[in-house]
Amino acid sequence: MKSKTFDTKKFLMNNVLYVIMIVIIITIAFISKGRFLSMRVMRDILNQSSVRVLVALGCMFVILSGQADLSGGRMVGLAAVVSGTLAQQQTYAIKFWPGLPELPVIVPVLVSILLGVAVGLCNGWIVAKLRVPAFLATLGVQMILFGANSLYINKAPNNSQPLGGILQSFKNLGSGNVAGINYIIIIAVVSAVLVHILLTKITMGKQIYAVGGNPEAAKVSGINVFKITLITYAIAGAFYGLAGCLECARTGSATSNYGLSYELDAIASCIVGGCSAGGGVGGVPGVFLGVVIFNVINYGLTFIGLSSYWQYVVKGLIIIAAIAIDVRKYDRKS
Amino acid sequence: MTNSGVLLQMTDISKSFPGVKALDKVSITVRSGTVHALMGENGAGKSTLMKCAFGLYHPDEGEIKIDGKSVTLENPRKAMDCGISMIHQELQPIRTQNVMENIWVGRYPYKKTGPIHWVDEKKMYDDTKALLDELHIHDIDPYTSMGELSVSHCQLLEIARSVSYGAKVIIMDEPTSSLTDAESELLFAIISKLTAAGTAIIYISHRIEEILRLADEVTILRDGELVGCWPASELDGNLIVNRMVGREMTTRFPPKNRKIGEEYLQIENFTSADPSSFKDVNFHVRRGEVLGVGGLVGAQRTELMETVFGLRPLASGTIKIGGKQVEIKNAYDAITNGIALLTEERRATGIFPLLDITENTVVAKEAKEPEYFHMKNGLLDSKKRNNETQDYVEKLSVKTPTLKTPIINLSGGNQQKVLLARWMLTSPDILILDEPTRGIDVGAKFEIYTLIEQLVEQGKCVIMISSEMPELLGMCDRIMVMCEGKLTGILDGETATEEQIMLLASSYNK
Amino acid sequence: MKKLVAFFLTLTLLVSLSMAGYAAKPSVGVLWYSFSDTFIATARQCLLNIAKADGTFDLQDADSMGDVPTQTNNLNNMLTQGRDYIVINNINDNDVDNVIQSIVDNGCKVVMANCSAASDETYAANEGKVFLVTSQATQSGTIMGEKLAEYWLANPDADRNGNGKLDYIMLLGFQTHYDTIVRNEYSIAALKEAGIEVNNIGGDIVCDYQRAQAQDKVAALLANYSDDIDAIIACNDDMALGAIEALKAGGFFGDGTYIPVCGVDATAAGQEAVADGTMLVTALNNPIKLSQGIYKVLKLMEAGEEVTTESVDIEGVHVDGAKVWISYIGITKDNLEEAAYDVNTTDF
Repeated sequence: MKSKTFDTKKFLMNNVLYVIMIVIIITIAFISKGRFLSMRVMRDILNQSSVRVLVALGCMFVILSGQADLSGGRMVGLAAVVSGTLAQQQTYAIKFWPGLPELPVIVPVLVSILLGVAVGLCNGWIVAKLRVPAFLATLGVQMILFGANSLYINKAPNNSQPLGGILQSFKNLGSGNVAGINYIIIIAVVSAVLVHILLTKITMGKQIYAVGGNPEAAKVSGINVFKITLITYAIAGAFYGLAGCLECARTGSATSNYGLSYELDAIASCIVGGCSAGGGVGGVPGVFLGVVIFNVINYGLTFIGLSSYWQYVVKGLIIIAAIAIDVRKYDRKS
Repeated sequence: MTNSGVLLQMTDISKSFPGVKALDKVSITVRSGTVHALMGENGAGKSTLMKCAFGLYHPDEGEIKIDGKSVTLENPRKAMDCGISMIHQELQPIRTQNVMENIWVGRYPYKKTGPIHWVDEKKMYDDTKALLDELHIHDIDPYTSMGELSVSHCQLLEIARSVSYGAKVIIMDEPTSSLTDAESELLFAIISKLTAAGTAIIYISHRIEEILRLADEVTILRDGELVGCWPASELDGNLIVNRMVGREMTTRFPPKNRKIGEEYLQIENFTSADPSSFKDVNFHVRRGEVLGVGGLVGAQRTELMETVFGLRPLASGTIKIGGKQVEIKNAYDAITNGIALLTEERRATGIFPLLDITENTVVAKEAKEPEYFHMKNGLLDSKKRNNETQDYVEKLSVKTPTLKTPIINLSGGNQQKVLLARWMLTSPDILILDEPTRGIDVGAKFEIYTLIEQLVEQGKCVIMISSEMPELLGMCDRIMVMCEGKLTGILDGETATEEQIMLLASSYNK
Repeated sequence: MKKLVAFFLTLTLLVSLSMAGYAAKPSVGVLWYSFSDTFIATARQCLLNIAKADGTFDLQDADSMGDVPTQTNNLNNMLTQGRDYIVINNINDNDVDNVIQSIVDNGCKVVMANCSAASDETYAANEGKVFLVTSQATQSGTIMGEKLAEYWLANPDADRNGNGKLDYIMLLGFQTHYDTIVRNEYSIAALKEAGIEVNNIGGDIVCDYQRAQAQDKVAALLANYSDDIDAIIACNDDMALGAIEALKAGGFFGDGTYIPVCGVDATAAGQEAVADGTMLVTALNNPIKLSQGIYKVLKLMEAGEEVTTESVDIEGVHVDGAKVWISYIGITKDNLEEAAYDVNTTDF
């Protein structure tokens, strides 16, 4: 009884993200007389998306498990500052830790990730054990992180100066490339693939969906909901930490204001990318695309010299449009 | 059941959804002062027909006449203006507001001062009081907060609301599904008051006993088509079932061929950590046996079984399985000890609504033995997951388009079968089934009974909580009855009667 | 009943504590616009250091977090506590006179710090009670414009697309932020003053004073206008440094292609960029001088002395009636040593 003819409306609805992205790209390419369609632009966009992809991947874990996480942006800021203070040149005039020898690049990276995991475990514990609603728990943690970061960076001799004198080897992590592809793009893509495998091919990934889909049913089915909640927040924290560290490497500096409102962009990317705010629905391809779309907008509108204020308007409209169309996808045809 | 006038006449109603013809030229005639039962399996089109009558759906063809006048019902508002009202299957009162606000919501009586409309609380109170008195509902104060009321009271108030709209036809969709027997009696009393005053009731229910008792006429639908309409006096239970499923069904329960073995599960001195719950309960289940658990709402049956399964804290008591004492602190412990629990609230604690059939099926097995579905490299073996699920889908004849369909799109009976499959996949020795047939149509019920029969014949223990007496009497070898957290007696399934169960179920202070 | 007793006990305790705290020394409440602003953070730290070492005042500060309602709440708290002096880094630009007058009416003396001035009437009406200590924010814009004009006139190749106009990108902080407005306006005014025709590329590029945003946006503009851009003017060093990172990634600086980038603040990283030749100029508003100026004015008021250029006696600071002006200096490769300051100083 199913109609076999091509249903244009249905196709557009099911692929709303691609459609929106293609429309934006074509419009910008048209305005810029084709200059937008270059390898350089593509690389720039992927490059600028990389850190955001990592934050969104982390955030996605928490959203899939049916919780919320507002601590992402400030965690990025803290990791950026901490990794920056561990990767300064010996000769820099106001070196943060004057006695510290020059450390291999892996040290600040690992410290950032571990710091993220620790904060994530705190988040998870507060949510799952103390049963503070996730929204408020992570809002509180977000404030603590910002305060702690501001206190840390205010330490003499730095006194709240933006960090400088970052080691070239560390900066290379953010700006270097192999065969023309930036390391951070590789890191983001590899992370996305690994997360995709984790969610679709590993028992734990399936259990995250189950917990997000119906935590009570998950409990009855023998899943340790507490453990899964802790793990999702910890993974999220790890990604925030990595993202913060790369943000410092990419820009060659850090201040306590780094990462400001990244969590909101990440949540918007996840939801636009097809995650249900209630949990249990979503996946890597959609989220990846969600992030890229936002960066195409950011980059593209700047590219054609459109005022920043218009960019906010366009971004807001696209969030609303994408979700409004997406909601209709699930409507029972009646 | 007099020659009173026709209130509502729906003729040759057809309604299609993409890919499905939900109604095909169905007609129904509802007379003033009668209870008209509408029956059929899930998916037969009962709800669709009633949604057409209430203006929620618009029929593709056919005619609706109210009081002999042809009408078009664009929306529920119009239907209510025409005197048709519907009590929904899942009631949604505004719990934070009080009774009278719920009844008059959207049309509060008011006094006017210039452009300002002041809500007239006094009039609202008096009107509510008068309305409730009219229906002989005396134990609800209009100021009571809705959140404090029981489900049955909410339902009664929903009916009061319909009456307040001046409804001539009230549609009730499974009104007793969440009521206790006593509460149902209250509902029946109100129904007879309403019909005596000339109101017509369209009554949808799966409970045949109820239908035979209440209904004047019975319309039966099957697969979107009208089977026929009969006076209730010409029908009996078997006739109704046969006409609903369209095949001979001589009995409602499968034949028994059980070999009862040794005592396998022993529960001793079980006392809940919650002082208001069960105390000092002792019972055992033997291999190959179905133990029924009867009782009224508040008997703490579900609480007891969820404690056995590790979901609720225990103050004292021991569990022995196969003679060995075991410690069960959470569901995982229970599952690894070979226990399965099909919970009462399918939506709240059973299904993962948006996940597909496969995920819903394998989840408990995966929690029990994660490596069961692993390939050698540690990744999930999707093929094995799908194959095992497919096996059960066939074995239990789950009706689903594909394994990738989200479970929420299945009917209640099929959802229940998927949940049974979830537990059977963990190869349990003890299955606890809490109201396994609630809200499921007759055909699916029989299939679930058959499944239970197969399980006990394989030597498994089954504990079945049920509020349906015929089901307890028809399926169980022994029936333990609880009242207010105490075990009041254990009856033999062969010889027990409904009266004996009722007596034990209401043995308060014993 | 118990609760009531406990409540009153606590209240009494709090009141007596606050009385005890404030009775001994004249007390000063400081309202900074944002602790997370680098410049403010430095000035704040320095002011705390000076006050602690000197010991004349009991000094406490609060963070308005860039938000007018928060500033109002903090101010009300301080007025309730009965402070003798209020130092306010005011951001409620639309209502300056009322804000100041209400503080004076509460019996406090006011130092307006690092913000736009009140009307002349307010100063006249409250002579000796209200002072303004601030840099001339317009100077920061003017310095960038003048240095850029010097470079442009000295280097004929600076017009990269040969259109006879200086094509510039302007990186803004927050739209309504006073510094952003004057830096934008006065840098361009100084260029025009020098007889240079200018052309804006990219419109209003708002980067919230953030390095990462500036880096991303300049990268996008470079992809489209790589051959046209002649100069980048940033409303702070962080954004200038972000622009420099983007320029480096776009192939500039390394092989001698140069685009002048101007910033403000002379942060440590900014000075480094000036030293290695990637930043043309950074305008320095010395936070130490702001703190010293504020403290000096407080001391003079407490001693009942007149506030004049001589009595304040800080280099680069001059007094004009109730206004104490601190000069910006333009830091280039030639005068880098002037950018050095010591936040731990306790001199004033």
